Amino acid sequence: MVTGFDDGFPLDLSSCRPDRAAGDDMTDTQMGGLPDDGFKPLIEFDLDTTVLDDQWIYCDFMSSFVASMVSHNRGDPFMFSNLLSATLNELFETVYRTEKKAGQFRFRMLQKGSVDRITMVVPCGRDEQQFYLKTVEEVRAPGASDKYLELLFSDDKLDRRVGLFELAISYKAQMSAVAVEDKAVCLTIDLVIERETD
Amino acid sequence: MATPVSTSYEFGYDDNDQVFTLAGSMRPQDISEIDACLEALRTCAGQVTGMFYVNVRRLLQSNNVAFNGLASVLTEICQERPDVNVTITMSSVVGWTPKKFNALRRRIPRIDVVEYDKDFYPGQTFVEDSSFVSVLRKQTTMTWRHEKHILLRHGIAEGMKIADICCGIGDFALLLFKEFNPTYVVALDHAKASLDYARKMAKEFNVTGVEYVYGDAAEILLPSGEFDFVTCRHSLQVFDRPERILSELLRICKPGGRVYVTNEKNSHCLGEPRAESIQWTYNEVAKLWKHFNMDIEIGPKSRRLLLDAGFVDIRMESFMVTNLDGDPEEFADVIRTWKNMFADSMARERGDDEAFIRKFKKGFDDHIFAAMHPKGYAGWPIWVASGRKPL
Repeated sequence: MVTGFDDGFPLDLSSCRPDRAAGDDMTDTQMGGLPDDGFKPLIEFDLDTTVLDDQWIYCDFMSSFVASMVSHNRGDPFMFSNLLSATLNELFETVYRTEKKAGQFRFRMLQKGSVDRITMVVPCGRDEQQFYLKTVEEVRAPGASDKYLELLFSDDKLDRRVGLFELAISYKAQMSAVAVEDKAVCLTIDLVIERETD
Repeated sequence: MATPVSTSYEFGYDDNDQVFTLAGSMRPQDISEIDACLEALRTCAGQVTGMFYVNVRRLLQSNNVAFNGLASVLTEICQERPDVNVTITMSSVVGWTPKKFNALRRRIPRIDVVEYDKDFYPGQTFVEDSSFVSVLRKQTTMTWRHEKHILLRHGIAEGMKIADICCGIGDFALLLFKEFNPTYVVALDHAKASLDYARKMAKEFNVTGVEYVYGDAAEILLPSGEFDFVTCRHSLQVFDRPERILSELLRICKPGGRVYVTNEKNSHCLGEPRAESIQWTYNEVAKLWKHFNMDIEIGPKSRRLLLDAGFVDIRMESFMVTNLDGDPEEFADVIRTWKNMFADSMARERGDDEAFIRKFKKGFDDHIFAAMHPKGYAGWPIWVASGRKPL
């Protein structure tokens, strides 16, 4: 099942390979590498889900590290890094709060022109797949902006959907979610952060 | 300020100015982790009268958990204290803050959000005028003839990490890169139009070793102790609090590294013939800048400012850009632009009458006359000073 993206948006959904299970030895190409519409890989890593679950601070470490690694040669490297770190951290925190299966969490960042693409494979069962698929649908639905503000300023415990809503509404990210059998979900997020630094 | 709570963020309160300051990176897993901070925010708000300032200029990151907590407390303060208004001061350099705090402002009308940086640059609107670009390039060409030799006496060497703060249109950073082969150069400015121009020029010259970044010189988001050589040219004179900039230059400089500043004393601009008229006009320039809280006379004060900021081993000298250095027409072009900016923009904004403006302009015209006269001499003095950061 695939959700997300308007027709004509330059995303080849084959970058998420439902025929492969999370933790399988997928190649760069199978994960959405160079053949994926000419996006060039910037950085990627795998992390055992037990390690990822070990410490919350890893979300901060990963987002700060990736942001600093890929922000050179941008129009404004510091502004870019600041905004990218903010967006990545929300994504990693969302993944941290996901009830994950044993396996490898896979993160990959690619670039084509001003578009930065993030792909993440999160090992998880059907319930958590549904969370991502449903949230991606919600962020595209009418009234999503109001819903984002409602979540952001909620008096209750913060809803974990807020990170994905923020990317879609505040950063105008395009996103898709693909269920990989009952083993994982693959998220693909396209961001134009340079627009934000203007 | 600074009540350390964790390694990543800190908060504090200045009751004199009623400012609660947050700095660093707040990314808690659970809101309870920042209870102490939120409680302090509540307590401080309880002590204020009138305006309560919340300074997030150096809050580089906040996740949604922390932001939700801050927003809740600020909302609560506005509900419980109808006599108090909240002003959040943020820096436009920290990209995430305008997105979220402006959303908060739209929800709670008694919360105001201001970009601090804009108030800090009294002369920015004058010097950001894009028509000023060509004269800035000419000025750099004229001063570089002297500075490429002077810089060596102030400790610049190959292979250094260099920061050029208040880089303007970025041409000096490019010249540094080409002349002194640094490891890299970071050039920072607060004028986006200038930075756009700088990036365009770097691309045109195929220079990739200079990073142009948007930033506030009084709150530089560069790490401490990072740079071997820090330059800041013709800029202390356009800030009303130059000591704030110098403390940041000192911070980002490596121990043992040097900070290099250049500044003017415009009343010492001179020319012959017509010296008297020229002298009068440039004395008036100094008064005009003072009116806008800028000190164009700061050049000779550089030594004191560097010492007061904590630098040692101060080296200082001055040089005179003159009509004899190169093409006198270049010199005349610079004066024409000054005439337009000082007489037509700044004097008019101050409210000066036409008689004054006519006399004021005449001094610039006479300076141009001196520059172009076959037997004339026209000068623009500049003071260079550098100091070493103690080990």
